[in-house]
Amino acid sequence: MSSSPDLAANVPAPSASLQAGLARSLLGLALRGAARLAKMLAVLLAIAIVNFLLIHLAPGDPATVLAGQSGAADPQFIAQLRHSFGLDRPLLVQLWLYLRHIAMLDLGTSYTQDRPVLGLILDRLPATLLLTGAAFAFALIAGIALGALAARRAGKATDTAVTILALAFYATPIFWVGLMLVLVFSVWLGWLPSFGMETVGAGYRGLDHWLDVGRYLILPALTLGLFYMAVYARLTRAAMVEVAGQDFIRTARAKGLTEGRILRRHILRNALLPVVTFAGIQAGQLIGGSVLVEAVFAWPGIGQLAFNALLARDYPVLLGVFLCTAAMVVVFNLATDLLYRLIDPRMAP
Amino acid sequence: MSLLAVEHLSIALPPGGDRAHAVEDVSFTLEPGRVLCLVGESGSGKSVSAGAIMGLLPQALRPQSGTIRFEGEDLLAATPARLRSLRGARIGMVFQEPMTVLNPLMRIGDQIGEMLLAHRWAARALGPVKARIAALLEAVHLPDPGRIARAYPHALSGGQRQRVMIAMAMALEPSLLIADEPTTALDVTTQMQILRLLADLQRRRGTAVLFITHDFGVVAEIADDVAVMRHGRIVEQGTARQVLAAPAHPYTQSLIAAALHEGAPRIAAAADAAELLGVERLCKTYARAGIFTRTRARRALDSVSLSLRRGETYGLVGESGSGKSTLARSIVRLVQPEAGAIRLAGVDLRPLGRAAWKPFRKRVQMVFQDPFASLNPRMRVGEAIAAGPIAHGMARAAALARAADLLALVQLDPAAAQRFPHEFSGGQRQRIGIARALALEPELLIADEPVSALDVSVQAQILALLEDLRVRLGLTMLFITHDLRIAAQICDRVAVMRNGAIVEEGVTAQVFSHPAHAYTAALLDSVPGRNWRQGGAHG
Amino acid sequence: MRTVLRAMARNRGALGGAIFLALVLALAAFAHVLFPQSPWDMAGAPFTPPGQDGFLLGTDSLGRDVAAGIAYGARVSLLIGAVSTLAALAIGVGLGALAGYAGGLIDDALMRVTEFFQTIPSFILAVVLVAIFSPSLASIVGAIAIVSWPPVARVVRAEFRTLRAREFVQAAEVQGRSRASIVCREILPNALPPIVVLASLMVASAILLESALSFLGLGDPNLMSWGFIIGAGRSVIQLAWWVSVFPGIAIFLTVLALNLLGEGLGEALDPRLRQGTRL
Repeated sequence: MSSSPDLAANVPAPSASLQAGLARSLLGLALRGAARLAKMLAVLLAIAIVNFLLIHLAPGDPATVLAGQSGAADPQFIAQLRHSFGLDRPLLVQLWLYLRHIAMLDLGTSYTQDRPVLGLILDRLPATLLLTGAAFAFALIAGIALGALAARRAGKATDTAVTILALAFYATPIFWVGLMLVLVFSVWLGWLPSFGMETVGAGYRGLDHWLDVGRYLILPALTLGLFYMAVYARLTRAAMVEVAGQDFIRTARAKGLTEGRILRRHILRNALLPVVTFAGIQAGQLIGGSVLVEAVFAWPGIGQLAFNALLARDYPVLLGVFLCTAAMVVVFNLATDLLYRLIDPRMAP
Repeated sequence: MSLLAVEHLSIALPPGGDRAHAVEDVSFTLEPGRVLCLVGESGSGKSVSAGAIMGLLPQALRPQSGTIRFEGEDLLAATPARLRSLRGARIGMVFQEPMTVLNPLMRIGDQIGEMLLAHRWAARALGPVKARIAALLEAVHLPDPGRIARAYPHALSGGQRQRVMIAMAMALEPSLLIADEPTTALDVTTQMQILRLLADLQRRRGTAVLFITHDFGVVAEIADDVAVMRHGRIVEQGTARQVLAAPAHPYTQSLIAAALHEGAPRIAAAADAAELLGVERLCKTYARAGIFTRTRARRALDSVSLSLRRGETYGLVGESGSGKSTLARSIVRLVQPEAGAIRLAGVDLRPLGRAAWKPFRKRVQMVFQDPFASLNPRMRVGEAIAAGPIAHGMARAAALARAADLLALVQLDPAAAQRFPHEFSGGQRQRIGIARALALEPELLIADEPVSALDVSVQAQILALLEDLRVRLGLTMLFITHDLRIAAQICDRVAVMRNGAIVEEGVTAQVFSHPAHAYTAALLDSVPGRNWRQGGAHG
Repeated sequence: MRTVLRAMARNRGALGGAIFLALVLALAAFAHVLFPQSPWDMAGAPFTPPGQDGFLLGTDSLGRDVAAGIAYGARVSLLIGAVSTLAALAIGVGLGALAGYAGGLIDDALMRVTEFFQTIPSFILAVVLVAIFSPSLASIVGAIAIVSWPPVARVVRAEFRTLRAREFVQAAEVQGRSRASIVCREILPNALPPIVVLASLMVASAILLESALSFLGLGDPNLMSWGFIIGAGRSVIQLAWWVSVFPGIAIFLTVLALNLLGEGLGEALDPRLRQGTRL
């Protein structure tokens, strides 16, 4: 390609402005990222403060709460706690010491298991992530599919069926769904295992191990997922019906597009935005629900850890679980926020 | 053979409406290369007619009888697939609201390209898709077509989006373009640009245009032929020249009179009256502050000064975003400017707090733009009017009795006091809004676009009422409008606003006949049907 | 109001929901007449299947009558559902109205707090609260209220913000009316419909939340509740399915009825939905 002189002269100017533009948008991105990070840290700090307040608002001596109330804790241990958290010093100093403990990832010690809380939680985290991840994926995919189906056939029998199904799962207590699934599929039909995460003592390896875990995963993931499937189905249907009434859908028809293309390219894409947003906000609820499901299925995750701590009134573990799940939600929200920016051009920097 | 022939078309409304048919026994024809304007007020059935041609009517509306022949083919008998292949390819359409007609999640180029793909057989003759998109965007005079094609709709202004819609509608060189109020939502200067663009494209390509509008000014600007609709029927049709010069039907005559704003000659205010309201170097900046986000400040008012004499009507004209509404809202403390002075009969109101302002509320009142949003849907009309006097200490019974009198004053039945706003039409609601403002016996009445949401014939009535009340009650009026025709009709003096500043001010006739500022001249040049108006007004 | 009632009556789901709720209310009110004995007492042989020995819904592992438990449990569920919703409404409407009307920094601060409470896993917070303050009617109601007010605050704030910018509210301002009059007579009546709809849905989710807490053993130890019966029946599900099944059905139907009622109210109060859009 031969370059004419005036074309060559033109080259530096646009590229310089391009560079400046790029630099500006990168700076904007960095600022936005910093803002998000600061917000995230603020939320974590607030959660830690809530934890601190809970310890102090609880009836009785904060030291015994920290030690685990029902444990007839040894007086020396209590005295050590009192010193380490400065419980005889002003409240603000106590808060500062508490926050310093948290910042150094010291979430206290479980008196029942005689282990640091953080270690307990980290051991159990993968199981919970597997369960909530599977449930979330199932809920999102099935929910959007059902919602889209209902919206496509709005007013017809399919729509009514989906609406009733969604309404039913929306109204059923999660733990009861779990029990009923156990009753039907484990007790009566004997198809699937009812509790635990793997066949104890079977010693499966590799693929067999994962298939085994998969069999154990089905019922808990369904239990947790069905409720949210109902939520997403209702949301998807409502959003699609709303988008279908908007002006740009009329434009699409006026362009002579087929109904199928209008549905896929114009209605569904726009309708998914609120669903994604809502799913992000709901992440915290999903993790909360996993406490119930893990309790029902004895799934060895942090939910079950919390449930056992609850039975033993092992408060450091309970508060640690609260702190960690809240942190997980914050991270998850950040991820949804980024995803949202990728989907919606109006949010781009 | 006509390009489009609509014959005896009737479309039923769902049972329970205020009339049986949306469109009744409508017939008109459109010849190739001509522009037919379908004129009517809201609810006249003009948009339904267009929808029927496109096969895009809402589910509830179904054509009952009649035929729509397009290039000889009966569209009412065509299959959905056949209609789909005609839409976009042979019949293009442009809609009213440019802000919502484009998919917000799709690039402009993709939205046009998608249509070329849907009609591959027709598009093939027009060259490669990408080049075609760029050529189309260039043809509607969009700057930097490559960049626009990659942009998402939110980055474009309303006028630019309407250009994109026109580019899309013309993409496959259809023989018929249906434009449903395509300029109504735009500012005057943008409206005129779009009208010129449409006329230019139409002439060059020989496209026939079915143009739907409520504005006879637009008709004068663009139409070859006119059909006037009312209550679902065509009351008059003919060539534009003929209908504009000698309308036969009384309804057409009243619409044209309203469009020309031929009001009764007004009684001018004394030029030497004392100042009632003085605004001095008023500034208001809207800032979106954030810790990390950069502050983007917008100057809504940039050192604005003006002075109103007792008894006069002072017009404030400008396009949307010019700051005229901000100014009006600043005067009644709905917006708090950061600098300057607002003097009412010598007292500076700007520094006053909520409580100190209260006595002045009786002296300055406001009439709002949207008759549907300006009345509380859950409050009886009488209560809404009486609430002001009650707040200023009048006994409840006396205030309610006064509300009934005020309703009579604005030519409504005093029994209306017992009813809720939704039982009234737009024009009636605006009368209620005026009654509410007058309940406190103000000296200064601020009217913020009081007729822009109303049909033309209703506009004329409300303007006449305001003028009558001004004279009878000795009001001073600050009248805000984007419509220069209205300002010319009722204002003693006008100020032209742009970007938060007044660019020109003076006696109305003087400013409009000899504009000193280029922007004023551009605004005047954009008034639709200005040549026809001059002819009509003098001849 | 009359049109709202008429629209509700046309909605079969809402009508059915209302009738069923009336039945549950009657069951709760007359529990002591229907089952004079305390639901905690042993009434018959353990694990009596439904329909035998005059036990309509069978007995549990301690021989307690499941039907009596459900009747007394209805009291607890409805009471906690209603009271905690009222408490959440009081917090949510108050904060939401303040944020929406005041705007500016107050709005910013209050919304950060609301967002925070929406971010943290609400069920776990409720569990921690009840556990630390030891289970009782008051701590359960308090915990449910604390985790369920944020949506109310958001809805009320949004309504107040849009209504505040509406011209009829500005007109009231220009009339020189007091803030109290503007909020109470102009804004609040128009913000009410979504609050009413939300309230009925909140009662439903409060009942679900209470049952989950009781299931985990965090119910008031003196009150028989549906979640408690299911929790107690859980370990014996292989022997006596009915202990877990029937209270679950009671929760399901009550919550469903409340949801149907809420949706019916929403449709009746929102004229946009009343017409129903078709795709």
